[in-house]
Amino acid sequence: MTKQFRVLYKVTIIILAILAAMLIGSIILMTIGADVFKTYRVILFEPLKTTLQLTEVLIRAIPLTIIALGISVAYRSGIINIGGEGQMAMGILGTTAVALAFPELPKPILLPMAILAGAMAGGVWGFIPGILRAKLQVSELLSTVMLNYIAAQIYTFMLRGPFLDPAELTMGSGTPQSMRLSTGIWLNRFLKGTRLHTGIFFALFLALLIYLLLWKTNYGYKMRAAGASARAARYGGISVTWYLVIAMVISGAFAGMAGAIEIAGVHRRAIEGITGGYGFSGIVVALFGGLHPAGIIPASFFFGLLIVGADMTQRMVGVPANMVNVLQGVIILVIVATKMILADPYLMERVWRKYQGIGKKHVEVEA
Amino acid sequence: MELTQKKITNLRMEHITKRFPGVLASDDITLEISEGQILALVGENGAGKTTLMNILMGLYQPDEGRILINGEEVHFRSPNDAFAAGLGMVHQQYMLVANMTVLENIALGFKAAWSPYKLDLGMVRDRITEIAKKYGLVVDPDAYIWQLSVGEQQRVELVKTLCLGARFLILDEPTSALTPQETDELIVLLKNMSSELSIIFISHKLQEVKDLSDKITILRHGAVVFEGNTHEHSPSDIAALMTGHEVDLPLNEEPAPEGVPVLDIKNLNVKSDRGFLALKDLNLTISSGEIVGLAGVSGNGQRELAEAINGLRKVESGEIQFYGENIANKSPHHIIEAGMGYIPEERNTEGIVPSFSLKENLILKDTEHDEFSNHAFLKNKAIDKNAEDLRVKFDIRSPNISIAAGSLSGGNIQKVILAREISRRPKFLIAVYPIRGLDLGAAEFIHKQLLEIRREGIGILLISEELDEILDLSDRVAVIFKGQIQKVLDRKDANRRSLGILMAGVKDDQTV
Ligand SMILES: Nc1ncnc2c1ncn2[C@@H]1O[C@H](COP(=O)(O)OP(=O)(O)OP(=O)(O)O)[C@@H](O)[C@H]1O
Ligand SMILES: [Mg+2]
Repeated sequence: MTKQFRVLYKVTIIILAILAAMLIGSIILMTIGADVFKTYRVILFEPLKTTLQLTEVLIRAIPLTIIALGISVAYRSGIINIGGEGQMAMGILGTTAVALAFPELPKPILLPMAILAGAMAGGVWGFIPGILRAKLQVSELLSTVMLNYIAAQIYTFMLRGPFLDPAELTMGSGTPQSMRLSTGIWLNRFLKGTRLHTGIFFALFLALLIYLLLWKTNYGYKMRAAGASARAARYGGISVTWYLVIAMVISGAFAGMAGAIEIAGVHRRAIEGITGGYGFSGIVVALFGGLHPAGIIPASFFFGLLIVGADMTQRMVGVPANMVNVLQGVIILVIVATKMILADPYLMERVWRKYQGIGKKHVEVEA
Repeated sequence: MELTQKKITNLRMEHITKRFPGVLASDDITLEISEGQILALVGENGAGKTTLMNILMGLYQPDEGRILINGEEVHFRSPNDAFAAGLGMVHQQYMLVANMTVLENIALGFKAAWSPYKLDLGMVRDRITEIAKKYGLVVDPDAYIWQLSVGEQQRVELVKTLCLGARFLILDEPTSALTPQETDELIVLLKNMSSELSIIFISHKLQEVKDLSDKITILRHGAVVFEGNTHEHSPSDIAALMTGHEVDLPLNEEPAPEGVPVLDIKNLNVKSDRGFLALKDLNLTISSGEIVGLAGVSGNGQRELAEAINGLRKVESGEIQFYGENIANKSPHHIIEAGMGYIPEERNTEGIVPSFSLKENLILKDTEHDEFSNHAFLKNKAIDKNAEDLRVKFDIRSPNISIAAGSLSGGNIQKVILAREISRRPKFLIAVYPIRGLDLGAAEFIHKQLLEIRREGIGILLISEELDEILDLSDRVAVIFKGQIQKVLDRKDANRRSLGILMAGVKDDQTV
């Protein structure tokens, strides 16, 4: 089997999966009486038409990538992190706290400090379910979800209390938010007229980092071994529980950094509701991207596209943006099926022989 | 359940070909078996025995070829189709749900007892009693699987298959995990059953092939290389046909080594999974350069002893002195670094990470060492080279070194573990059933390797139920019974009879 064939095969399957998801999606769209083609066209292509919209897609893809990278580390190490939402919120709080506390510091000091604070706050929020699972066998599904609720409440409390913008009291926009943060933590917007910020390079850098960590270092080896077969890993002298905790801390720290980057690049202040489901979409992105950085980057672009497209459909076709959630659900189901197909080497082998057969016939005809 | 109650008077597989990525697992195989016959399917590790039987059971689809029952072509899309036609298979790895009872496990496959609203467990129970009576197969329907020994699980698998109405039995290495007594019982049982059933069985133990089968088929590299009547050939003929050369298991004939004690176990107490004391004040000392065979009926504490030494099971009290350090309750990592090597009993779930590649599995314990990593970064070249070398040296049959270890044949998985543990150059080795599932040629090679590292001064604790293996290799033999060492014999005093008596729990000073 040639390498080209293998790649071609996988790409074809993924395209078929996307088509299948769209087909199911169209049935749903039809039942609510929407114009199917127009809806899809708007979701998929409208956001790509202008630079401005394209950059908006990229801006959504940045936090998605970062969170999904963290989730893939946890997943590969055998622990499922559905607490990205809460970890991101804590990360935003950590960053905001530092930015508010030291507004005078110069950027080269404040920015790294603020991002680090975000990572640490998220990391602590990941550490808790990790250690609970390692020491007391508490299911991470339970603990991460519960910590999401707790984080959401803390977030609201901080924004309505200690961090509340004093201007908000007099002007009252209605949405609790912090004061505008010092320019010392602003990420550069490097494309005139758009909000695209340098966070995108940071995200790509993190993707490279995770790739190296998981596949090129012995720490990554041990984490993957612990996730793939805890018993064999223990036998091999790998401290499974320790790596479980480490993986959760990394996962949480990444979600925290996603929050930090999001406010430093886009909002420049903490606002209620800006985590906006990134923590959950990140899970889908991680799985859709095959738990691998090389897959996560395109997958987060695709999901960014869906998010921006959803906004536009609402405006241009009148289909509620919630439809995108429905589509997301359909996509998750299709991913599970696709993963099974991709994991089946026999099928690939059969297709390969068919493909060879076709090749041979061509040769015979030509000869 | 619609079962064709027709007898299977003739089963034929014709021109079966099956390819896996990079491997031709079945190469134009034709095979025939008639009513009441017992066919032995033998061949080297990775020859394609399991694959061929999986095809017969509808687990895999052949790329080419067909299957005929009583002259009619059949298509099995899944094992359920094969069950319905009266075929049943006991797999190399048992497929039982550990935290369910025997009754529930059997009910799982017993479709006749299922209705949309309820599961008729009473009916399943009756069926089990019926089968137990008919074949003299005793099982306790209410025992949980995890409470059973491997031999008992084997029996449950057999009862399960028979309950489902199998009239054609396929047994994939049924005896590899059984004690000698259990093996003898199984052979008698199968012989009796052969009056009403046809049986295909796979084994690496030629004596039982000889005792049990009518016909024999030898596979090599996926193709049939020999077919014949069993009674016309001696086991050594068969071995020669199988491996292509005379096989001759090596003997430890060297003088007793003059090593110093390196593993000294004192008053060790360890609990089993079920919570009772599996080892009771166990004492045992092993010197460098010495092979001590641990003989005993399985379930007398062997597993707990191996796990406790390797830090995988809690030590309640007692000491394990290893090169002057007490390693009791140290972490597995610490013990590995102290120089302990361990070939575990459970090869598929413990000895390898099935989804990891062959080359990755070969460095499972050494990722931190300079040999394979440089400031935490893995050295791919060294890892590849290590795998290529070991693949050749240990004759691991696999298309390449990047293939998932879990897709290898049973015996080849065992070779991966052996290759890793032996080539790591430990200071001491705990070897649990090291040749289980290996073909004769591979067994010969492994025994030679064990003797060689012994010569280098490495102490070995050899845990086995095969008395021949223990008698061939050991300098001394310790007999374990109910969590204690009954007695330690010198090689010259140990023989099948003396060991058998000790293993049954009789201290020989009582008999005198
Ligand atoms: N699921 C699979 N995917 C890929 N290759 C496979 C798979 N199953 C078996 N093979 C390959 O097919 C060949 C035959 O394997 P098989 O398990 O049939 O051997 P076997 O004769 O039963 O050996 P053993 O005595 O070791 O059990 C081996 O080379 C093995 O690596
Ligand atoms: Mg096999």
